[in-house]
Amino acid sequence: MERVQSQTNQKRGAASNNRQRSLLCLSGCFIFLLLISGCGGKAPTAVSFMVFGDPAEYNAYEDLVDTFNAGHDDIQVELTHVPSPGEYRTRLLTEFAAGTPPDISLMNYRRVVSFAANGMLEPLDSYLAQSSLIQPEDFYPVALDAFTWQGQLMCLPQNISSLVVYYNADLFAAAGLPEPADKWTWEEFGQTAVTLTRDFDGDGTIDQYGLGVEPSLFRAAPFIWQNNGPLVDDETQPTRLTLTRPPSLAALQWFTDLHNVAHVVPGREEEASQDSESRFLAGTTAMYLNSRRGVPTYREIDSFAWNVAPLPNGQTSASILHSDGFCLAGTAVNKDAAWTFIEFANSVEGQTILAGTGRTVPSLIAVAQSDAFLNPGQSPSRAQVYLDNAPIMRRVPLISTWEEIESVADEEIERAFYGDISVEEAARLATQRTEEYFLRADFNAP
Amino acid sequence: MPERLSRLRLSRQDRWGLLLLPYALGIFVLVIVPAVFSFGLAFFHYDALSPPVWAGTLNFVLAYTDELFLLSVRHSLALILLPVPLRLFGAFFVARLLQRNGRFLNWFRAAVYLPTIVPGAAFALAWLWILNPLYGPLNLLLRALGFAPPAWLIDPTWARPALALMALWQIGEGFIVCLAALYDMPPDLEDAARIDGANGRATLRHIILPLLAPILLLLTFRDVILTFQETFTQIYLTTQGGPYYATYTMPLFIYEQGFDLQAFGVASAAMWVMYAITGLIVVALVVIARQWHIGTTEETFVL
Repeated sequence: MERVQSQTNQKRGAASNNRQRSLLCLSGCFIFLLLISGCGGKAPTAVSFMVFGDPAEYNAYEDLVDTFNAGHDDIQVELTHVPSPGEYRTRLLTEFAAGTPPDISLMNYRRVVSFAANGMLEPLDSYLAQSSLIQPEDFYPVALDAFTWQGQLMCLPQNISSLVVYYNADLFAAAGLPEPADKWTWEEFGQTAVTLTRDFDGDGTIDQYGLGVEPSLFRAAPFIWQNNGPLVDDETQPTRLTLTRPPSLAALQWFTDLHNVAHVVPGREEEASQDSESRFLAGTTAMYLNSRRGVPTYREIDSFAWNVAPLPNGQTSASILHSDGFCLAGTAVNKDAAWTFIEFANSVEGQTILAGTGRTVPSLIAVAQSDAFLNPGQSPSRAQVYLDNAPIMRRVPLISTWEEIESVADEEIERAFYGDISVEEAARLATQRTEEYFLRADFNAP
Repeated sequence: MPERLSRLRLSRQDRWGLLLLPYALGIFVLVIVPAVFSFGLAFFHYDALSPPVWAGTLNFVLAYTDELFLLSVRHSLALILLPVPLRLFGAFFVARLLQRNGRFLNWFRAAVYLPTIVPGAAFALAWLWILNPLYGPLNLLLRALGFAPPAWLIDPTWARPALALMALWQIGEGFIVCLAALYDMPPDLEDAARIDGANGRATLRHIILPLLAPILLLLTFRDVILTFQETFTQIYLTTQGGPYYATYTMPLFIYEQGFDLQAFGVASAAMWVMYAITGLIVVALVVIARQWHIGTTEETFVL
């Protein structure tokens, strides 16, 4: 303290006594403040957590993070949100490349592999083995399997969602149609869509579409499997797409005929002007194919009643896994604190919160079969539909370039869907153009 | 302090230098340094996740043999051809039209400049709405007038013209430069021409255009470079290069290689090819200008 005073004296020799005293007092106060801030408990460990999704989905994760932060004084989880999944991937790539990724990121299993193959993620097996809250056996095996790379669990899956049919019950009633049964065929599905596609005022413009679906490989895949067609030549070590095989081609033909022959989905211009999901929300599309992701947004609908039905069955029944996992960055500084949040989010308590928001089909069997998911008192009341999909669920191959393969194949499938090229041409081009990505890929060695 | 500064007696040139210094620093740090780094990077395989591996000139070969790259070069060149002359003449004629003074003309001048200061993303999103094939105001208007309008950004043949149409509205900077040049021109010249019996067309052709030629040439350089390299935001937000690659340009190729496919080496090589092509176009323009004797009398100004 004396030193402070003497320094002050040297600097300001001419200053008055009063001024010196107030300065001394100030510095004393400052030191006091430093002392109490040092003693008054540690600042909580910060953990960053990044998710993608619509505003309603963001609210779901906000609920989860708030509950966690309220119960943990020593850890502060900070939520970052990127609306579009496409931009999310670019953002993650850039941040991982810069060496400053979020400690925890929510990633789809199709996107995880490119990060896992580059050693960017921290395997979670040892954390899970030591957990007193959750065991591997508590999860649906198909979900854990989708995040297992080279024998290691790379992320902890929050859900086992799948593709289902969201339908506007009021439009079914208005058309005098019964709501879809728990088992229905491609023909029944197509016929229902035709009946629900309406031009009310007879002006030649369709006012209500029977169906909305994205023309993409990921949406067409379950129908290819239902027709006993293969997607790739080898499920574990694929070297090419096999869309040109007759059963795969036939399924793609049926899929694209929904637009080109039956005209039950909006055309390219209509879709670009107002996309099918917006049309479903506005009550002008009767059925919309989506995963569970849409539910928080659909729950904001108050102008009509809606529910879910399973996909129709082809020659066999098949569904496709949609799953996102909590992934821990290899560079995270406070891995234990980050794991505490991942563990909480995927414990019965955490998954019950997310299930309550409608966002997830819980990957914990106990939560999936609880009232929190099956009887939440909100739409969709037929939540069992998602769980019935579990035994028939398949997933796309785990290879590091799958994302690129899908985006190239999507371009060709979209052209076939809107009638620019034949299905054969699309299948051939997709197979040919994706070959280079199979060559470059890292495969999942068992 | 201000006294001492004024005592420095900076020459006119020094004062210009001081004013431009922040921009020069910005260009050096944000453009030149990264460009030099990326030139080095163009000779490596680099995915930003693992250390770079020497690749020699392979990235340039990869860029050159990639069908999509050649397609992107063609589309980038096509996107110069139509919009640049239109933008230039637009800027000039609007400046000529609004050259006179008047209460309302001020408002018009502001209106012409306004779209230029709209941020790129907002501008693109506004046009996404304007060009919406079914519900956009443009097609509603065209349909009301009895036309069968195209689907614009959704239609492979109309997507590029649609982008050109968008570019026509952001001519504010060229407009201001032309306006300043027109004000700078002694009014006696026009008066003298009129007394000599020259009509408006002849005055424009023989007096105004030759006098403004160096400035128009400078604006052409700027517009060519701008259209070639800076259309990324608008294309990325409106068409993402679609429909089916109809608007796939070089900046988009570079972005995809770098940030989607993590092939930063190929992206860097492609960027330097883009620089080279830009340079070639500018050289070609200079040659043409020399042939036409444009700007040769004011060599210090442009050439």
